[in-house]
Amino acid sequence: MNSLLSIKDLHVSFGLGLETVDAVRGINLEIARGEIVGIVGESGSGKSASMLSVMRLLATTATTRGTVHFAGKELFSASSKEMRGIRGGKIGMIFQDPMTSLNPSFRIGSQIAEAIIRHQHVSTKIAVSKATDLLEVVSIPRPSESMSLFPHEMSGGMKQRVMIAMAIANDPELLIADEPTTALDVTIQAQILEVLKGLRETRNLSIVIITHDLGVVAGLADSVNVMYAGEIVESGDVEGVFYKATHPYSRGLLSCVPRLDIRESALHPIGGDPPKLSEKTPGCSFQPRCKNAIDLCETTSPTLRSSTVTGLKVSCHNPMEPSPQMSESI
Amino acid sequence: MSAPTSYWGSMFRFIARRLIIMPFLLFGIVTISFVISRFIPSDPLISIVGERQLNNPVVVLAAKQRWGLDKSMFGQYTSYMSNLAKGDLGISFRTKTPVVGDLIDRLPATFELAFTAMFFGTVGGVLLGVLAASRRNKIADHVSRLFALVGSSLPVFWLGLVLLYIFYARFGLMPGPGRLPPRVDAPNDITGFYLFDAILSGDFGLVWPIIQRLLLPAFALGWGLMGIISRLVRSSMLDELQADYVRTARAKGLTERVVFCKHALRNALLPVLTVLGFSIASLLTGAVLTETIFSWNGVGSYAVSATRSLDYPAINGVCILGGIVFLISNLITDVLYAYADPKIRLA
Ligand SMILES: Nc1ncnc2c1ncn2[C@@H]1O[C@H](COP(=O)(O)OP(=O)(O)OP(=O)(O)O)[C@@H](O)[C@H]1O
Ligand SMILES: [Mg+2]
Repeated sequence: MNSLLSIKDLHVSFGLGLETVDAVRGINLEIARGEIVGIVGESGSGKSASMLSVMRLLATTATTRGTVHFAGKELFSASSKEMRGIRGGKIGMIFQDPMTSLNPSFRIGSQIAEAIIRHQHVSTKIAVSKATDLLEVVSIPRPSESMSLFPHEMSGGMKQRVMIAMAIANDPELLIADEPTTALDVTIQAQILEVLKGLRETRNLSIVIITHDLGVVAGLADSVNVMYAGEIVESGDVEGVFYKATHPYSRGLLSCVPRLDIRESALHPIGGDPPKLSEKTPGCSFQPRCKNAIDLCETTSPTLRSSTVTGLKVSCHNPMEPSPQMSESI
Repeated sequence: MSAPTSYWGSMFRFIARRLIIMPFLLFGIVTISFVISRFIPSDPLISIVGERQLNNPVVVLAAKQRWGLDKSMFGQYTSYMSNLAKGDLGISFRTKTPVVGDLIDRLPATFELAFTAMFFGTVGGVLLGVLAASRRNKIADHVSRLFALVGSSLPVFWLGLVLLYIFYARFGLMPGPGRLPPRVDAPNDITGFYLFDAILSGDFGLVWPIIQRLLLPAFALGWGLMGIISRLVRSSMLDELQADYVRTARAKGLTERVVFCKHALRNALLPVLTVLGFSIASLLTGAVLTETIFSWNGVGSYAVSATRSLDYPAINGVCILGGIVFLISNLITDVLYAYADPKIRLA
């Protein structure tokens, strides 16, 4: 297997008092070098939890199961020292909320330089000049002056760029971008996506992009994984999923690709609520909301299988027909 | 996006404004302390002329004229104020020397004690707080909680007496009260701080005895502050460790030590600065009691003697000094806070 990141049967649960929340329920994911993989799904579907577990940055209340191989190394059994070498060095991560993800007490320049010094062991002076170059890479205006700004002196879009600069500071092999554009308005969103695309071209970076915005995925990713209630319910290359998705949940998501005028629609694409993750049901977790449900869905949970019709992997007992008019809506 | 010049400019304006209102606040403090001291239902003449002479009208009248007590209260107030404007705090009834000189003589002793106490309180408190936060709900956390509880809930004079009893009277591990060993002369008076004076005048043999004698009283005085700060640092550290930026710091591959002691601690220390400002007031009050117990010849013990003998000029002098120290320390706290928290813009 020559994939850069290989996740096998990953489970993540959070202990919440007497309950356990099973946030991720056995996902498999392969990412090749230079590939951009999208993970989409509603809020709470376990997107962040699964990627944070790769970095081993989950809250202490979390327990994980399964294996994660990165460049041939199993991460769950790696020592914390090895993990520290990987974090920020080989894998960079951009977090969901740029507003709170930077330390309010330090200038952004020193926060970026810190990451460089940590992994490249260079002098402060060299680190500062490298950090300034990075600000240029992520298109922050007047890089050298911006180095001395505090986070609260910057807009959300600028902070997100700082996060990106920090994450790519040590030329990582993999970048995990958790909703890198959610907090931003549409023009800035487009600019940030351009930055990410450029990084793939220039550095052969692999990127995992987490979002609940299918438009983002369409413009950027090579392949897409649709997550629902901690499971991947459909996956395949981006065109396949957009044109030929057969899982009722994917289709629900696709039927309301965000429009500029109604952003909120992206958040509740399908009627009903996701299941409580602390409860285990025997059948398919999407069944209560599914228009296509059959009796089998109530009793047995489906498994992810390659579909001979579409070439995608789908986890459904009664998939829909690939619809030709889907292509028009995109 | 503020340029550095406007930052220091606004800092300067902020300080200037606070300095301008300071005399008005002091005026209030003086007036209140003046009025309160005159309403104490007792007669300062006892301590001036002695109880025996109190029935001798000639002596009493002479003393009253000598000390200005024959004037009306308002007259006393105006003459006190006009002297004060010239920097004259009057002559102490008790020591018969100028109050300004008395205070200047004794201030270094109090500062020496209070600064050391503050040092113990902040450094010890921060260390304990970080330790407790990193060993949350383990033995070290419980021990530090108990330690903090004792220090912040028991009165300073009791702590002082118990420490003296245990370490001096009972086990002889520490020297007794006083700033110097018995029958030893003070080092040359250069700064008034014995420790500095001993070093400056090359009297190195005196350094350790001086430090040793400072330890118990400073610890007794600083224990409460240490307790408060350690609890505060613990809880704000635990809050900060939940923050998203801590995860970002970990995602850079930083060690837990750097995540704790640089990223989280820097933010967790902000509330400590506020407490430090307020703590100066309680350190001053505590110093009065501590100095009395440890025979510390500072402003605190001066204040106690002044109150006992209704030494009006001395009482008012101590009040003014306390007021000045309090106002300046608050100003320093605000400036430090503004400096440490980049989000604060001085208006
Ligand atoms: N620290 C935590 N403690 C307890 N439960 C958690 C914790 N973090 C996440 N969860 C739960 O795990 C589930 C998955 O969370 P996750 O953050 O992965 O969702 P997500 O897909 O990233 O959603 P969003 O789009 O809102 O970011 C959610 O039900 C959430 O409530
Ligand atoms: Mg998330």
